[in-house]
Amino acid sequence: MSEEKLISIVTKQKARSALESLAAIPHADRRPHAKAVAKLYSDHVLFGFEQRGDKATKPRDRDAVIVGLYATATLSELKKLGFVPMPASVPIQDVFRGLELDFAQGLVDHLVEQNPHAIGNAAPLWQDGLAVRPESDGIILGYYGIWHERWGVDEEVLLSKDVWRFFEVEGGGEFSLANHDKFAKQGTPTWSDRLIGYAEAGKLDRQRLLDASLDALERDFGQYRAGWYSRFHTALAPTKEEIAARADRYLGLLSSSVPPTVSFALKFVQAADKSSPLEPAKLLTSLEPALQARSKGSVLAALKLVDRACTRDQKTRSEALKAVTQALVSEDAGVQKTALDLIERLSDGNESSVQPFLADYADLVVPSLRNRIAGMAGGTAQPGAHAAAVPAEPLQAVVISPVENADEALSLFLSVLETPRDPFDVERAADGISRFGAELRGNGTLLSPLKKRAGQLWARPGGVGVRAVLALTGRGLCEGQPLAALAREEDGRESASLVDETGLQSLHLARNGEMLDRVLAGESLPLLSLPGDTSGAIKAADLLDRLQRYAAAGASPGTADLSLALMRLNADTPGSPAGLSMASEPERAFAYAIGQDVDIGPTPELWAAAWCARRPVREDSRVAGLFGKTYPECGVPAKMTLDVVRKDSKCGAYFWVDVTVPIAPEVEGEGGGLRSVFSRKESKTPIMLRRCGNSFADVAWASLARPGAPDLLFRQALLHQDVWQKLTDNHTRAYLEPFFRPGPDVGPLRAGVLAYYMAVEDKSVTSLAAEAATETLNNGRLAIGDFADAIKVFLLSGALPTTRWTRGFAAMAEAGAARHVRETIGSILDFAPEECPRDLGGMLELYYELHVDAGTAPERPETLSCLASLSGGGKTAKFSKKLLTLAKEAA
Amino acid sequence: MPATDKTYRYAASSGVHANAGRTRLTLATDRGVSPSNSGHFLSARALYPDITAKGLRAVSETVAARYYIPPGMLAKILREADPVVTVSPGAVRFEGFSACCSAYARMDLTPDALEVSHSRNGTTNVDFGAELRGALANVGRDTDFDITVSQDAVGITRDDTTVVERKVPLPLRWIRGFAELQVAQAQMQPAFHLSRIAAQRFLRTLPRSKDDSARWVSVRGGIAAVSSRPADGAVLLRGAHRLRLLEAMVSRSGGMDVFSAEATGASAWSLDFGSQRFWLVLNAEPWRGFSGDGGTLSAMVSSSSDAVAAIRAQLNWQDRIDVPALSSATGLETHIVEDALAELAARGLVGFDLGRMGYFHRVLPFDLAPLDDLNPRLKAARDLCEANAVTMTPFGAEVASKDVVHKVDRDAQGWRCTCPWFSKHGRQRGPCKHVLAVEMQLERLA
Repeated sequence: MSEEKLISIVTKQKARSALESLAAIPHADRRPHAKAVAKLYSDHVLFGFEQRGDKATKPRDRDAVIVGLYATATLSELKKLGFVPMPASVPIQDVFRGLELDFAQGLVDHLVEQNPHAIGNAAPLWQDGLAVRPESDGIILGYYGIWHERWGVDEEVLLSKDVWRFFEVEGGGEFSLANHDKFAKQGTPTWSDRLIGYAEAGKLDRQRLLDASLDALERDFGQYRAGWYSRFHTALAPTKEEIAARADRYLGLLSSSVPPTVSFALKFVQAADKSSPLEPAKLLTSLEPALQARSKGSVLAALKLVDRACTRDQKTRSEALKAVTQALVSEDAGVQKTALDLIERLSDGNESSVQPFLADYADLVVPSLRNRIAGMAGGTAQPGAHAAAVPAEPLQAVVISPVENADEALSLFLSVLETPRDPFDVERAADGISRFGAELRGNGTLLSPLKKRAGQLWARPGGVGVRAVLALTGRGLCEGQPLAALAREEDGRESASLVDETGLQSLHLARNGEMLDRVLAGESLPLLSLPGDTSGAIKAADLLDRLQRYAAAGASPGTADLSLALMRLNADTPGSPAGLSMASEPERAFAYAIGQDVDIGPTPELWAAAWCARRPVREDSRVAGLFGKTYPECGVPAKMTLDVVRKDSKCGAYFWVDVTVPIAPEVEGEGGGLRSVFSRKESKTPIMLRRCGNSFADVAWASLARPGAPDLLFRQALLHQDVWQKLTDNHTRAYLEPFFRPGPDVGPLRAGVLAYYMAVEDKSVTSLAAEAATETLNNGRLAIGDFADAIKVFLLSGALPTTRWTRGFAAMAEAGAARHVRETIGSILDFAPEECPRDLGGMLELYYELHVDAGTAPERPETLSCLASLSGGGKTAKFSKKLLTLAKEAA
Repeated sequence: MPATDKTYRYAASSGVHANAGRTRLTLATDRGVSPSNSGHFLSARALYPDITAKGLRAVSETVAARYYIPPGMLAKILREADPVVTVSPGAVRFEGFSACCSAYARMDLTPDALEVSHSRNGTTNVDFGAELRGALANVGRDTDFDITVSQDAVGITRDDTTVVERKVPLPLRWIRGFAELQVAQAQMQPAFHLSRIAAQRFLRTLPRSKDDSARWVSVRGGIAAVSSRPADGAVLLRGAHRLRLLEAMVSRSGGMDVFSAEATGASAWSLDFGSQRFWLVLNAEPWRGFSGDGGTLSAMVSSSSDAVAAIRAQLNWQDRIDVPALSSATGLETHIVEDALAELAARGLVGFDLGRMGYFHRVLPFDLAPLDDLNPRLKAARDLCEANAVTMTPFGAEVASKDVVHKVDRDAQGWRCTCPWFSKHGRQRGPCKHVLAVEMQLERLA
């Protein structure tokens, strides 16, 4: 049997005919052609949609190729295909019988274990007696999939044994009863409906179904999957008698670790208790976990049950009182109040037995209940103890120490190559190479680890631009090659794209390239752009000193290095151009930056950087003119405003937040958002407008680009944030790093970043933003008005839930910024009634509690007027009234 | 992932049997560990049944948990291992290690927590699956709760036939991590204490779902303060969802004690129930195994096998190993005893009790002999030494590794190296293979 003939059979004949032809060929003769058939299958069946291969070999019937596969391949080869194909037009059992294959059982075991969707394809093999049906969990998972819908099920097997395993086999991400019923197509019965139908038809034992669903809930199933069993149990609508018979089991489920299961059990315990009162002592013991549940509804329901139990049996009062105190652990003021009401009622005014327990909670209940609980506990409340403000400690800038020797320089460089998250270390490492690189170059042995590692990381920088720059710098140092030459060789690689000219890493690369050129020329000079301290800024005197060292060494400063140094220059520090000849452009640029009047040009980047440092900020047409067109922050101050709107989908079912920061002068080609301008290659993007990058390290490095005037960075922070994204290491957190450094006051745009970041989905971002707000409010860098205005912009857009800021405010108050939070909320409360955001009640409750805690009341007329305008019912109206009462009492 | 097949052989399944108001927990022991006729370890009545039941349940939950699933790996690759129980005169301890190697749980029961009718010193695996966890949920404060740890726990052994047999592929890093974690605990120091209610409040603030973001926990005014930024004295908590386990138990505790190791970032969270204590030890990151911390590597290089043998001979199910007493009994210096104990811990022969700040004797029921040679760093260091790759210099050494020469020298904090491992981890995860090779070379020269 030639390969050509076999291929001809499977390509020219229909499946049935091919099966007959192949069956006539001994297996030993078919087997050698397995590879050829597998290739045919791969080219024309598996990837048939790609239209590969020449038409001559295109099969007439794809099923014939699949039959060919079975005729030639071993089970192991079939498994290697990943997805084991089955012919649709020829029954699989006919294939196995016709070809006399001996791996039916192996195939069945494999399919059941690996792909429950395919069980339907394998079922004919055991139905036809060619294999035995496996009894593994995979069979049950098949029911959770879709095979039973395509192929039907053996009802007898299902009802006699398989169905009871539904309550034992939880399933996983894809296969579960919860998933099946949730995503069942319209018209397809859910398993819940089917089982109830069987029970109603008398085909399944209803009592056993009720018990089995409770058995499943007692198992450690995940919350999502456990939900199906509680819903199923509820859908069976147990009668009073059935509920009473299972009362103990419902009580047991109250200690479930799955909150919805606790809620479910509570409902049935309530029903059981109503129809046939439960033994009070037992009920109280079982209710303990529910009384400490996180869900407010569960705790309130449990408290009601405690109340009922005590009403029935006075002897249990003492135990009940202890149990009720446990509900005070809830963070919800409503729950705390209900619990205290119940304690008062049960104790009949004599709380001595619970006083020691109540005292434990005295500081933890909301401020408005502290006096009450303190009275009940036999003590007095400590006003405002909980919200003591953390003393404002202005952040002190710590001097950045340059590395001291070649060993330290190499060690630090190797370290930042692996972990470039600290931008100060990255800069110290570059400065170390700048000063000790020439010395290191003389020792090839010492550099050998760097040479190897830099090569590896340049090939795979892991999406981190800073690492790519450092790796290329390392390579340049070890190989004695200028970076420009190395970068050109590597253009087109992923690592090269990370440092393209639209990103700030291109400035980093250019700066390191200049530094390396000096090192390769044997010069040992400091980096001009090394930050002087942890504010990221460089003092004018320090930069002057560095420039003078360059002049003394006869070296000319690099444009990128000096540009970056000027962008970091703290022009508020005293400086003078004394000692500089003013003959060179770098010297003139420095002089211009510190306020001197000099001739401008010709290098645009350098003068834009010098203009950035110059104070006061004033438009300078000479600098702007160097660029050919007008760019913001390049000789012309940028004006930016925060614009937040809620965008709704056409069907109205979805909405999202749209944050834009229009900039003037407008950036040509930027269109609606900054991202669009960065998506295209542009060689002339001014350094001020280059993107920060997409990794934590890149953004952190970018945050040091202009520490004194970081608004463009924060503009990107606003545009860069994805409100729904949750990440293990969210790179946007790096935009918040400058708030924890000494620096300029937080203006409106930066306040907008805090406001926005406090309300995103990722809690690692929101908590950091709340801490940044606390830090900057406490040390006086953030004005309450700016912060409140920024939050109001987002809040009134209605695009994000109010509760997110409420949570953030609560965290800030806990962290010692209670006064600032109070004032901020007071300032936010200044809008027309029709603008009132949803879910404002929680924020008003916090506002009220903070006032009670501090013994203050709202005073601002606008706030009081806003509160007075909030009419209607619900929490919002309730607390606006309480706040107004507080204000009246204070007045 | 290198793995070793561990076959659990149980004469019967463990079970919880409720009858006439008494609940009896019968835990079947591994016959592969405890040979026939000597497999009856414990018969006791729990004096605080609800706490004991919750603690045992939590240990089992930890064993069943996989807090981190590497991309592309199916959870079922690692099937559920079984907890380990140690019966000693001073305590009965149930230990378990999570499938992802990132969390360790232990429930210590002192004699005051049990009314013991029979006990025999020893360590074994016990069959403790999901069914048992569900059943234990119903054990209340007033339940009569008996615990039996025995080979024929449910009395249905028939003609020496193994009824239950489960083969579980245990990755070597799991076994090694379980053992090395004891050494990690020995490096921890007390960080802070939270009262019961403060602990409860803190645990309630933690996320229910998976959350790998880093937090730093400290105490301010008796209340836990959680920050997204590091601070002096704050304990790193990454993968906070792993602490959820404690939420169900904290309300009956007397408070929570927290310990941490600054060098590795690992932390231990303990609930004190008076006569019982529950421990949950977490490594710095959910995706990082204790096996890679290398806390014992230097000790293993420098320790003397004679010292280890001498200390091992002194072990007799002590509940707390007294280092000075061992030192005087063996004539070895204290630091040599400590190094030897660390090595014995890495070999699974002793555990560490942070509550008593000391080791206790127990023998992990796994074959750890192959691990000695399979520690990748130690093996690589030996290979380097054997290949004469280490050249001592006046300031340290140069270690040739393929086409690269790494410089190993000392600074104020200790050894440092120019390899990527050291550059990435510094001294947080033990010495690199090059430093180990230099240490070996120095041992040889000495």
